[in-house]
Amino acid sequence: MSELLFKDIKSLSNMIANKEISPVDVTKQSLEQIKKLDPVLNAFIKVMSDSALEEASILEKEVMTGQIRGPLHGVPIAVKDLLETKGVETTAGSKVFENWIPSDDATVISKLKEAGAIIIGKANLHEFAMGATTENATFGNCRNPWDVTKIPGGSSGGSAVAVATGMSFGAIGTDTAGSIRLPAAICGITGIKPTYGRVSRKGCLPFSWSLDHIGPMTRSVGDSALMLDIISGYDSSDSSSSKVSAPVDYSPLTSLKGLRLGVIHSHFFEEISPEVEMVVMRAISDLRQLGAEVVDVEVDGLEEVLNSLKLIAQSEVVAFHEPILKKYKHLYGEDLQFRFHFGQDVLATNYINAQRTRKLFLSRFLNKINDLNIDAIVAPTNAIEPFSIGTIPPQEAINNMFTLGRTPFANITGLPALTIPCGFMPSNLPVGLQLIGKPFEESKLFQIGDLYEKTQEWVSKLEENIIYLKTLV
Amino acid sequence: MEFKEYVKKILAPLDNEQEIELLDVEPAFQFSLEDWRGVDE
Repeated sequence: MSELLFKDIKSLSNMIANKEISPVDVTKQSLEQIKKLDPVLNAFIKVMSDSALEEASILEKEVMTGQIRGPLHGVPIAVKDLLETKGVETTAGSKVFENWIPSDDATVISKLKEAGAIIIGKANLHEFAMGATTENATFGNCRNPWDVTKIPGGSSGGSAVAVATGMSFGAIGTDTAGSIRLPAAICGITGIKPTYGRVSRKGCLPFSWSLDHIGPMTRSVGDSALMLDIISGYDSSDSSSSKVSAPVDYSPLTSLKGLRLGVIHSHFFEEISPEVEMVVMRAISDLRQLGAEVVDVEVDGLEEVLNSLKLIAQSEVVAFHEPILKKYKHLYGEDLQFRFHFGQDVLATNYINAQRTRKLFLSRFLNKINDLNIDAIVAPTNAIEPFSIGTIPPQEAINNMFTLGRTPFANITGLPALTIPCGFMPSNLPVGLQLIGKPFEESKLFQIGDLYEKTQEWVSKLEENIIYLKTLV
Repeated sequence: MEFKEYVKKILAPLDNEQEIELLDVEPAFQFSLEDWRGVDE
């Protein structure tokens, strides 16, 4: 196994800047890894070999003349195929869009390119990001590298698999109810859903306007912070973009002394597997050992606000797809058709009241955690063992995210949420620990996650345990 | 090709062009965390 492909972005970036390795060599190695692994894992809908090598060659010449665009100079990055890429097919994982070639890059893609990233390919996803499994009838099911009979989670399953297996050094995912964090946790990597409004969504096909977020997926907390800093910022072409200035900038901690973490037992620890609970509780105990004070928090109205998410997501998605559905319903997956059916029956008053419920809940929740001086909520990310591919009936699609993970809370509240690997189930499948923060306080989550990660030596060698990679050695 | 143009192409002939014009428009009913930030400051 190539050690280079599992370097963190900062180390790779330094090697490139110091001319120890060239962007062309790195890109060739990434493409070779994709060629070796992707026929089985199906992490990519399109591998951009030619354009990636062309870009690498340009970036290499720049290095030779001392020009470094930014911290991603020469670093291969995968992007979920929901984001527009100029001159490159953007399918949204759907047959309906398989021939669409956008004329512009999404804002996030432009920012990555400005920082020197090499876009290595368009990552596989659940059709239109509307599902938690990344089973895709048009472009093939994406497979979990820890057990290829299992789902990798979704909807950003391809992004998670690419990063976990060294096919790319980082990836971009999107998250409407957990689509960054769930696959990140299931595949044993790190991912952050930022505060609503922090990252521009211009050029990203919507699932649900008031719940959609874009964020990075990486193999370390430091890499997530680095990538989030690059893609953040106000964008006048996205009406939800925030003008709040909150740089992603953190100094590493040596202790969690003085920090207070909250545990909400209802919802987050209900109906999770005992094996996952044990791993997460051990991680919480480790955080306590590092100096954090851990307190129980009781929250009212969780069930109502999470039901609001379902109403909002299904209403907004139908509003967007309605004109296309009239002609092409037959091209959408069966699971999506069940979801559209649910959304078509939601009354306007129910939608409006769902948004009101959400606003009221958020205000009460923030008051509560401020009163209790809570810095972050700590919770499981994934709740049970991932499903075996092809075993879940299509009518269950709307419930899968709630069954598999404890992620939707951060979407309905818009709060930032980081997932980091925290251990394994007895079946050797990874478990993710979720840290949910206050608005625009991503840096605090990174500080906590970074210290935890550094105390868990196994995290930096995680790839050595990935079963599918072992079979290829 | 722009997203809206692509959709127009695959749906041609169009019964209702206004419906397609809406594709690029986000609803006014937006969720924002800026209020909280304002209170905090």
